[in-house]
Amino acid sequence: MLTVLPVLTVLLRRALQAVPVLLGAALFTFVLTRVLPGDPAAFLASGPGAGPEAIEAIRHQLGLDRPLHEQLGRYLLDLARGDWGQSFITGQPVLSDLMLRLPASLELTLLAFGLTLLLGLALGTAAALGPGTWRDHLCRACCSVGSCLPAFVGGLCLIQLFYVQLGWVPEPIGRFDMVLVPPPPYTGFLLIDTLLAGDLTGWRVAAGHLLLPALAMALFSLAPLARVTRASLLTVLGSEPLRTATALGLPRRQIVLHYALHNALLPIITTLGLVFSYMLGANVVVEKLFAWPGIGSYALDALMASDHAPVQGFVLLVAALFVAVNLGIDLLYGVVDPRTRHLR
Amino acid sequence: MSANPHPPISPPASPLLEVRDLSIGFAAAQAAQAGRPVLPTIERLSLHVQPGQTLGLVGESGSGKSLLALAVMGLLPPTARILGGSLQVAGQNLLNATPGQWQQLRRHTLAMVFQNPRQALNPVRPIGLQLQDALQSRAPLSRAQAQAQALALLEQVEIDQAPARLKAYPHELSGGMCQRVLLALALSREPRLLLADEPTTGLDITTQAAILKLLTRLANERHMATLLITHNLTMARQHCSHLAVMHAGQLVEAGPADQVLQQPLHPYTRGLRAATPQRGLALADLQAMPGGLPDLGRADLPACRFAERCPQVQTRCDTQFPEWRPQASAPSEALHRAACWSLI
Amino acid sequence: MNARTETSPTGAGFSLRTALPWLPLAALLALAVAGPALAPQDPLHTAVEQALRPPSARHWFGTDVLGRDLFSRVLAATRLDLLMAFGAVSASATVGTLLGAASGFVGGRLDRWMGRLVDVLMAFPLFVVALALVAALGNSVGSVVWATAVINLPFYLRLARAEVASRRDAAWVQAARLAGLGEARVLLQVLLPSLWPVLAVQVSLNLGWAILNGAGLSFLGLGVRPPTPEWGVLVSEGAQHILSGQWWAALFPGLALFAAIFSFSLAGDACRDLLDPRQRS
Repeated sequence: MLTVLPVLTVLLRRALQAVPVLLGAALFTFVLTRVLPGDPAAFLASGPGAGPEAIEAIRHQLGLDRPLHEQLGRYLLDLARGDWGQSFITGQPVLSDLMLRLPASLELTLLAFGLTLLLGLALGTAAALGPGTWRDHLCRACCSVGSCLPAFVGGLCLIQLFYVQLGWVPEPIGRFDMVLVPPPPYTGFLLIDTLLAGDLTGWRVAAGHLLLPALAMALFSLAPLARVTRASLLTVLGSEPLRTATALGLPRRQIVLHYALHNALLPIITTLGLVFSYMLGANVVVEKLFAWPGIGSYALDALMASDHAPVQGFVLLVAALFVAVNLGIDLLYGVVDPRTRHLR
Repeated sequence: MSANPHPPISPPASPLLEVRDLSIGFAAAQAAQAGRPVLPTIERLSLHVQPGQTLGLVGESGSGKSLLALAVMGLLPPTARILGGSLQVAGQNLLNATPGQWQQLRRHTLAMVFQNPRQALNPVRPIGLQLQDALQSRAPLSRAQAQAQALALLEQVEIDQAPARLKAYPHELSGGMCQRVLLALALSREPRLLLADEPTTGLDITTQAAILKLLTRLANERHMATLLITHNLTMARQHCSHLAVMHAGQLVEAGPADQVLQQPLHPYTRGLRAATPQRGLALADLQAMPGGLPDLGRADLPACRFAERCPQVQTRCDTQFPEWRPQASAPSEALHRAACWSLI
Repeated sequence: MNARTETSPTGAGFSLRTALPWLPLAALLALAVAGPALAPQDPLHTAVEQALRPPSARHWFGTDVLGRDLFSRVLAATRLDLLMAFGAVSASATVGTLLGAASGFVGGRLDRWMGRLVDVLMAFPLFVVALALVAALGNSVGSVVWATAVINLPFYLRLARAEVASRRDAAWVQAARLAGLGEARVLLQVLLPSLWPVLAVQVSLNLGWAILNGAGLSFLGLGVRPPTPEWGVLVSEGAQHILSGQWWAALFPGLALFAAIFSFSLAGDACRDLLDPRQRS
């Protein structure tokens, strides 16, 4: 496939562009704890009654008495080596804490992402194919309401409706039933692990727990996707290539698939990055509401206890996820739109 | 590909395209609310195209020429309405054609090439595939057969390196080549009538000449009727056997090309000729026509829409729709006629 | 029914239809201004024996876990939420516009880097940034306001930069230069005032988002501490009781929050239709 090479070079270039983002995030977290007012050493030392010698000792231990640029260099080096600091609450290295909890957040976010895609595309397409009909108004209503309804409020409404009133889902606390035995953690994704262990009841329970928080996140994030789908499809339906295809009498199915949808996808794909970013933002509140043991609640607990290293680690991890997702989207875009394969 | 078989021998009075008193307007919600009648963009237009004939439809930009072509192809925008008259192709009434009938017409009888050829092609699909789509919509073909026929079509329209071009995308081709591809797509229909809407817009002079020469050759070879829409009088004279002149949605003059241009009957045609560069004339000899196309949204539009720019205007031009002179019960293109009160 | 006048340039004559989107916002602002004075009962008065009563004639929204009248609390929270949002947005609008305008005016490599920086920032999940900022600045109302202000900056940076860059060489700006105004004054006295309409639209759209983010941070326990009534805090307090059937404690504040954000969204859209119709989707 001779088209692989240009795609790879584009990918490489995008990957290189990602480095400044990651560096920026690292710099940001560094600045936050070192430069702003407030004494981290005093914070960290203020557990057991701390005297000035204890604070000084901690300050030296943390390297806070070194010049700033040296601190930054050490910090970046540590990050690269995988030393993201230690959490006071858990007593574990931050990176391993995060890796332990990442599958929970990822499973939730990915499912929410899938739901957003499904709902957003469906709403937007229905609206575009029937402008002015109830479908169009429904789409617009969902977008307005969805973007104004914070994820935690939406989550509460869903809990009230589907658990308290209807009883269709299990108790919305955590990922799994406390009574049942969880499957062995092959991947950390409960939906996969239960299947691998042949535990169908477990799968249903895990799915039931996933549904409401994922839906809450999806409802909040679908507005930009639905809007762009509608606008993009409307534009494509009135575009010249579609007129040419109709003028040639091509079969309708082919026109919709190859001439309409394929072209309409392009702006939609560029919106996916924004959608994912909405999700990462909604993730923290949803994890708190549903007591979800993911990276968001980990960072929040650390924050409340003034344990700074996990919060920094969380920001860096989110930055890394953000970069990875955007790279993936760029790659997808390159596959779908042949015009970008040859530019620059 | 087989040569287009001779169309059945029909008496000269049975044209391929028959437009009679056709009026097309745009649904104007405000006008309807205010109780005003919807003003037709095209008003009571009648013309004919005989099998194998090339008719040039000439007029300023905005005179409604493209709208007529779109009406013939059934591609009117959703806001357009047929207000009256009839439209027939090969004896079939187009105004109440079903979608199934339209597909048949577009696959076997009618074809159109558009302005801005690169924008008229699907940007995300190789042109070879677009040609195959068109070919396979007419008859079941294997992929090899479709590819071979696509190749043959490209060679018919004089595209060099045809096998390589099959895999190319529209953005990789020049404007002239895109127009040839559009022509190839149109030819795949083996149409009896080809509508060419300003097919040379945006192309450089040499390419324009080449495209038109190609068009003429193909039309002659296949005994294909052509409706060539242009604002360029010189182009129309060089490539068309008959001319029809439009002004602001009204047909003002029609007939054999040399008669219309050498002895124009209508003041508008005379004005066009005086404004058109010709060999032997200096730039200073050209005379611009005063004014511009009237605003069709006005409530006080004169019956003959050229009245306000006309050097020979009479009082009845404001109120009475001009009649054709010389009159004929079944006008044919061989008859040189114009719609003007000054001829009576 | 349609009373849009034909002669108005924006096509929006004054009528019930055009005033409608502004009504919820007007009501909201009135509530914020009137503040706790309108509350039927003291938002801070606890009465534990009345804890978690469902809505009744006496307590329209029911009571919370400490027996406080929820309606009064939700009403009293209006002022704080709006103040926080206004504070954050005015800070970010001012700083962001000035910086962005300067960058767009100067142009060149610096401006291009600024543009790239803003693009990356805008796509990044800013809520996470707000979280980190509050972590650094300490857990207080002030830091929540600052954090919200910072994450709103990119909107104004990008807007001001783009607008100024596109108008920098416009004829009327050149005219000002030729009239003898120095570059700084051209920027401050000629270009900046021309930004008002787009700025107003952005601010109105931003306020709702600022409330949403602020409430989100409060829900997490950052910034506002109990017993101060604030919508995010109220939702957080009430969320603990929803599983035991006391839905009013969480859902009424949540509804109020939604209503506020929605009011700003409506008004923002109406503002945009009025001042900058080309932004309409």
